[in-house]
Amino acid sequence: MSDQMTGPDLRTGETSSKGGARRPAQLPGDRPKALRLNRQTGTMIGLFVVLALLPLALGDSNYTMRLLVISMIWGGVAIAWDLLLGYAGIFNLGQIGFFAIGAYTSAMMSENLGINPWWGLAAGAVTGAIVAVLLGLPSLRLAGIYIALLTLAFYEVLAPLLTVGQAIGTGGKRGISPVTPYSIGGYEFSGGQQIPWYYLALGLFLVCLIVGYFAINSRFGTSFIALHDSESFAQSLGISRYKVSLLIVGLSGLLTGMMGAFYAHYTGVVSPRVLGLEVFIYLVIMVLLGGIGKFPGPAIGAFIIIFVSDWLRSFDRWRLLIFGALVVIIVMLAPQGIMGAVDSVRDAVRRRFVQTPLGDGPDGDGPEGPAAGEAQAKETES
Amino acid sequence: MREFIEVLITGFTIGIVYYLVAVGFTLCYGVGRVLNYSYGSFFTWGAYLAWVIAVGYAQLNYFLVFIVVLPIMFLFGVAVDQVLIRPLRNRPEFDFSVLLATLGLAVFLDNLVLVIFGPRTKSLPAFLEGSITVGGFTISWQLVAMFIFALVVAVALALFMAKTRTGMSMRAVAQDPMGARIVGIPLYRVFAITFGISTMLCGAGGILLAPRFFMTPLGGWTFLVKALIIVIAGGLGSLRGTLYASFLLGILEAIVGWQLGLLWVMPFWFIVLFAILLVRPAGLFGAIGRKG
Repeated sequence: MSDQMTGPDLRTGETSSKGGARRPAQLPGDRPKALRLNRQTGTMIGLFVVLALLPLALGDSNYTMRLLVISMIWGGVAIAWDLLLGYAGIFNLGQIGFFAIGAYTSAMMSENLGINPWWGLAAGAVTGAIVAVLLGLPSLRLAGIYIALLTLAFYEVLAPLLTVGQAIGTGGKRGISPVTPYSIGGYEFSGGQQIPWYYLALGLFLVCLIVGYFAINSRFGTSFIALHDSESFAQSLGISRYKVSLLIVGLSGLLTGMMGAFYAHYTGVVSPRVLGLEVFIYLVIMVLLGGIGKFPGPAIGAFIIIFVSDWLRSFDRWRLLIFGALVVIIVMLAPQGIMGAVDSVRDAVRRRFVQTPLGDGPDGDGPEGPAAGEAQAKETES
Repeated sequence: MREFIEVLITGFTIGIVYYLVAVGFTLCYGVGRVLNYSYGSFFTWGAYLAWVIAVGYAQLNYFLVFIVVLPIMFLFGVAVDQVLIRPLRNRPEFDFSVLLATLGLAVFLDNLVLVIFGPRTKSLPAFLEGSITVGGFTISWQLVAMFIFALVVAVALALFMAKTRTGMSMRAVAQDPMGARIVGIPLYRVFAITFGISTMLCGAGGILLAPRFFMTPLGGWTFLVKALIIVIAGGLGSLRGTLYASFLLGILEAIVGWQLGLLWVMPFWFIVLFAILLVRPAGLFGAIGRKG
């Protein structure tokens, strides 16, 4: 029984694309698949290799490099958010709040206390996690939709709080600027040379990818599948929704706070503007376009949106109008996003051309949805 | 002391307007299970429509504003329900889809305002000038007018819910959608009407509060969050809870604004909300939020 809950589990990649928490759970006897090449690991490795080699091709195009760094920052946040939205089923709307708190923590530490900015990365991550858990403590006891309300209220209240918080050094409405950049040995990072920033961002982005991947393909991920398939059965196995939710919220806050800390030193400025509606809707559309519950789709969404947004710069006021409409259209017509489309194309191709051995097919033959819970229940009974 | 009582009266009046806004929000959830995140944008649209009619283009009499704007808001709400919400109803993740769709709609509507009217703040003049002195207290006519309008709308709503056939079907659907359907209540029509009424109430709130606050294209978000906090504090779907929470928070707003400045209002609201939720996780009169 305990093997089922702790082993490396998900039949990742073989989803019927109905939303993240609906993946079929592992059957006893399946090989461990956490490190197998599939959609998740394949896209991750592809993304990493392309990003690692891209500077060679770009030469000294600082502008494109800057866009890529920004994409990686938001890509990491998008992945962290998707852990909650797509996998844990927690409608958290306060993700950017964790981001801002990470950014403020790191910036305030280096500017007001004179602490080396490198410590800020850790401090921002930890503060992000603490705030996330503190927000989770009351809200996760409530029904799903209440969480959305409460976290939205948190997000909306944070900007006024940071503005009135001048006394503790938040810098009021104008925020903190300039924020000291990182330095190694005698070398100081600067805006003129993007390469060091780029690889630092890539490292942090990789951390988000790996942590996200192992969170999904581990006890966490399995717990949420179990809770989704049969809550009472999962609870009888000792899974507490409250505890796993709290843990994953903390983890998501950790990654988001870390990215926030990096963002503060990269852009050299933090202000309540980061909590603006514009940033929020950008993040929503990144996750939505990439595919909610379709790891690592949201990160890909981030790259697309940052570049499209830059391309649409001349449209100025119309840009957000377009993005708002786009959110509505995606929800109505393609709620699975790009990764969902990729999945369904792949499934269709497989169904047509590939004869799959019994029990390893794209879908339809493995236990799925509530049935998986029943199958598991039967296994354990016998 | 006298100043304090005048502040209380202001708070009470703001409270009743907030009640209109929040009750529309909670109605929409209680009957149609829709959490409408574009509610703030509807608020903005109500205010801007009023501005167009009373100040910008037509310059009609102020009282006509209500007669013109409210039906437009109602029809707009019905249209949004039919085009946006209804197709999502048979999705397994209805809640989540609606959340995202209405968020997108909100951004779209807000930026439409921005594109049409520009980013500069607009303001509606007060309905009535001057003030009245009763028993030593000075109250502006504007406040009296606001109070009366809001009260009329609130009473009309209560009567509508209690006495008319449509109102009764709305309550029936809120209690048990399946049962309501069995006895022949057209569910989707009730959902659409509810959404329309909700939008209309939001618009009424927008018109009433616009003279007090400046109007900006993104100003509606504050009111969405205010409606959210009131509704959570009162208990989602509970009309009585919404009423008490509106007055509590309206008066709190007036006192905090008087003593510390308007910037502190939202932090204080959030603290009160947190305190209420710690004691009563489902809000003052809530039942829906409770798990299990």
